[in-house]
Amino acid sequence: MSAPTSFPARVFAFLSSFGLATFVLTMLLILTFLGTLEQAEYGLVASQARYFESVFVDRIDIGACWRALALDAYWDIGNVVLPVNILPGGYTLMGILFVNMFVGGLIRIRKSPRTIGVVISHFAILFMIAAGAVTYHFAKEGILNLAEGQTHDEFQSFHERVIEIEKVVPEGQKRTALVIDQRFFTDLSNSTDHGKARTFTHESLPFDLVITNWKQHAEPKRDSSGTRGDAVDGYFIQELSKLDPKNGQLQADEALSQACVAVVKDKKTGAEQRGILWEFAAAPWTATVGADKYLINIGRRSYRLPFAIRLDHTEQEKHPGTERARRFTSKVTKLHGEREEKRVVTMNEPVRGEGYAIFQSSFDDGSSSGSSVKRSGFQVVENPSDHWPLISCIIVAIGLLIHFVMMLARAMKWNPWIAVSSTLFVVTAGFVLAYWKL
Amino acid sequence: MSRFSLLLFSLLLAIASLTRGAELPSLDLFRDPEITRIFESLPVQESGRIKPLQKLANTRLLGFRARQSVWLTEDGEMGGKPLTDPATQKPIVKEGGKPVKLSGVQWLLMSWFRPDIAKTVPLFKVDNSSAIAELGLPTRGKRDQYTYQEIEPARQVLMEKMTDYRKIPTKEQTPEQRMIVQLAAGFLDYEMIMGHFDFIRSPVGTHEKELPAEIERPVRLSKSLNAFATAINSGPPMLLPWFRDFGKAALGAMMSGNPEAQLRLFPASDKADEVWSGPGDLIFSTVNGSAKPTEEHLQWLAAYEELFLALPDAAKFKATAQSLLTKIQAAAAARGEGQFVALELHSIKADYFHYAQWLFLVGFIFVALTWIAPGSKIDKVSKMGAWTFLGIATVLSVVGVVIRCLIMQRPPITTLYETILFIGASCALFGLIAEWMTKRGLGLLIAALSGSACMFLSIQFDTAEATDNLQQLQAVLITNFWLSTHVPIINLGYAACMVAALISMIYFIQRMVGVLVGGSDDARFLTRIAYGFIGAGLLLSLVGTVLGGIWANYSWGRFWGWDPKENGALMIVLMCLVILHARMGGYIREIGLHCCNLILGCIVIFSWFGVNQLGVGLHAYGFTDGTWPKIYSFWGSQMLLLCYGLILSFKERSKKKTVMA
Repeated sequence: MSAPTSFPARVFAFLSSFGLATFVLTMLLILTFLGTLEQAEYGLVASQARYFESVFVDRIDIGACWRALALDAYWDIGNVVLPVNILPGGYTLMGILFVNMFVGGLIRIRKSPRTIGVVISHFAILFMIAAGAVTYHFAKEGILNLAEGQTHDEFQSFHERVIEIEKVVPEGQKRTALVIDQRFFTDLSNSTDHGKARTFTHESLPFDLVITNWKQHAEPKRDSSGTRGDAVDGYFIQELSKLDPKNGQLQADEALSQACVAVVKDKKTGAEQRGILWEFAAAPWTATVGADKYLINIGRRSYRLPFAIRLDHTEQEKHPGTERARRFTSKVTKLHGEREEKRVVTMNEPVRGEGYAIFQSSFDDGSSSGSSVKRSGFQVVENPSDHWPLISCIIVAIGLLIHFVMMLARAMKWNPWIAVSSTLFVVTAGFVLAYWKL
Repeated sequence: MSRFSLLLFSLLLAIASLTRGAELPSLDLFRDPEITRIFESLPVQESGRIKPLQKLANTRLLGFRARQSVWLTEDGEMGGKPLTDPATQKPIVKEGGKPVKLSGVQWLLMSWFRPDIAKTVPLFKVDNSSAIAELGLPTRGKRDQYTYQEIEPARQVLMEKMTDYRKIPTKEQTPEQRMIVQLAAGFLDYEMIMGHFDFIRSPVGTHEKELPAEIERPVRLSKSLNAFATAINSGPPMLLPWFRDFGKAALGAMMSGNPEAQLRLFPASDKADEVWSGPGDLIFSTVNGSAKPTEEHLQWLAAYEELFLALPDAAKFKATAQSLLTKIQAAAAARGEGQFVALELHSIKADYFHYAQWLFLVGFIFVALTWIAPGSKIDKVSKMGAWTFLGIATVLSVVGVVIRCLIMQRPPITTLYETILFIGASCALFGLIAEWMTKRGLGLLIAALSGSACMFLSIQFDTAEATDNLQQLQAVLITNFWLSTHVPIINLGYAACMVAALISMIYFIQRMVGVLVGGSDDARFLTRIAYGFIGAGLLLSLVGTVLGGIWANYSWGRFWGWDPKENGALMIVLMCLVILHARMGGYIREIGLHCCNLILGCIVIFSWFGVNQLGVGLHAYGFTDGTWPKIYSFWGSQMLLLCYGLILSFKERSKKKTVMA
């Protein structure tokens, strides 16, 4: 290939180059390594957000990675944090890789029987990255916890928190709520600056809502001395350690309880009411404006299902003579208004329908809570690109098989087409046999 | 221990046996091939599956002394001075005056029926003599084996220390503390094993006279278990003078403090009852009122008592044991269980992986012989020899893996141990296939090196774990389709990448010793084969990883969770892609490719063993102590080779420059 001269040609050459591919793949490799190591101290959710879903990686905690590799047993380097604001994050790299693969691996690549396998696999991987992007942006997933006999039609996000504002209406009327996304309040956490606040307003509300002093893990505490400036009705928000007191490890995101201060300012009179919102509170904070009552709450984002689910029966099988679980099974009823549908959810066998898949996720025989009521936790997922990875996997397998078997055939001086077709036949037969027999 | 206390101890034992009035059976009885055969094939239910008693005995013995057999000598080794039988005061030797070696089940029988000898057998392996010193006992070498009798004087201290140290999280314990906790657990376990037949030998110690009148004498629990339960539950049991001894006998009948590991050998005729019963289980459930023993249960218990009562009459003991075996086998068969016990016993005895390891090593010697005079007759003969031995070794390891699948009725890999076996067999097979295609000796070398390394590793790993290496599946894994597609494919991917890394190690070592010249035909051949294995590795690990994601998506609703094990697999895929693209772009050539392969090998080891040590994530199924240092040493060796590779590349580049100039 001759060196391109014009600027667009040079850009095209750069974007489609092997050099860019090698660089991006190496960077992804390094990020995956660091992100895996940091999980030991930061937890899955935090390192996922920092390394794999970020546009830029803001810093690398070398000390945490060092300890994850247990190297501190030989040499304790203490806390070393490398601030690197320009390091591209997983999201950016995947974007560049997509462009690079599209331009280099589909458009620019010389098309011949020799490269057919490579083109097919590049196409499949592009499809897989697209599936990942669709999942990241559009999929909803969460948990639905049910006790035996209980019916519910909402599930809650695992990690996403929101502030909900709901007007109290007489029973029977349609309930609606306004929702503030977490990205609009989780930056209000500057502990040295309690004054950092943001005002939210909406035409349907007779008040403005000010949120301030947000904490990721906290609990309300009584201000016994009565001297704290940030106290609300004699209580203040006490930040808690995110480490588990029992084993010193970072607690899972689900175990953290967020809290913040909410101020309701009447649009007409300017009168203020202050309250503390807390994720683990037994009931939402209630603000009264004029003749209306409003419930304001911080918690997991909840999603409505187009049907309701009733847990009829759930059970756990154990390996004989042991406490080791062999299988969890839940008998459920899907309720669409009057119509009822009996289904069974078990390990590896979810119930699918209407765009939602419901998986058996956890089980509680009631012994931990001291009650005799058995409970099941279901993971609920709505993912438009649900089956895309399977399609992509089949295509990539075919593409790579064609490519490598052809290479091998050329080296061994076999007929490449016979080699490829017989390999594909054997592999497909193997899978069909496995699927049919197992 | 002073001579006086030893004397006192043996006197005490003598008194105890006198009061029992029972003549002790000869140890030879338990070495009888017929008796051994009967007991080793006895089906038992432990940790949720049916297995031969031999497996249980071997696992227990492995846990105590890191070996599956024991010599009855003063140091527990072959060359030691034979032990003395406390009953006859004669040395324990076989024909020709040689010391006696006991298999797992023979050792178990000795512990059950001749605890007096069992107490003098060096059993507890102590890796850190300061733990023994901490107990106030006389120490020997840094690593040594101690008998029950030697530890017994410090029993009280041992138990107190164990209670204290158990409160410290395992990761924060010092090596001595960990050793003491382990020793105490082993000591208690062995006490229960030796006391297994106490429920018939002396169910209430010396308190027989104080038992209520309605309990028949001599005491047989199969007849008076309900009467015991009534007596115990009629008031505070601690006030009963015989309760402590009864409790101890009942614990012995269970044979383990861990409910999952207790001895269960009575299959119920009711198929709905999945849990087999056992002597300890029967006694406990009756006494605490959780279940009333059925007539069937009591008959089982009576048959088990018969076994002890038949002693010391050898013929009667043999007949009783045989009838018990037949009865258990028939009851298990009626339930449709225990059909693989014989196969498992065969696989224990055939010891496929052990023999495969040695055959791989012999194969390696033949491969080495081919280097002496290439092209000569020696070369041809050695190649034939290498093919034969490596072929047999590979077949043995594959057969071993297949038999494990048959026993468990599931695909080959569910634990970390099984990945080592599978990857070892796959690497050897890859090597042989490569050899068949290329015929240049490299494939044989790969098969010999990877085969012997993996078989060695698997035996080490099994010894370190010291648990049953055939484990029941976790609930999330109950799907044969995904277990037989995703898991083997990803492990084949690991194997192919390891082979690629191995070829690069061979490349650098050959360059180092000067038998290979950069850019020569041989060097280019190595590079081509390595490249081929990276291709295969990419295909297998990419498809395997994505299949794993699809499994997760269809089973738990998430395709990718950034779990450490998933990330490890992704890192392998990415490294393969980096190598292939860097080579296509001309950024790396021969040396560069081999350097990258070394890094690929390090990544595979991290993903195979390292991520499990992080202690997070779904796939953390095999946390093992002391793995990091082994990983570091592998990484270290690779880094040395990598440095050598970089120097080599720098040298060649400067040479090229001078030539051009």
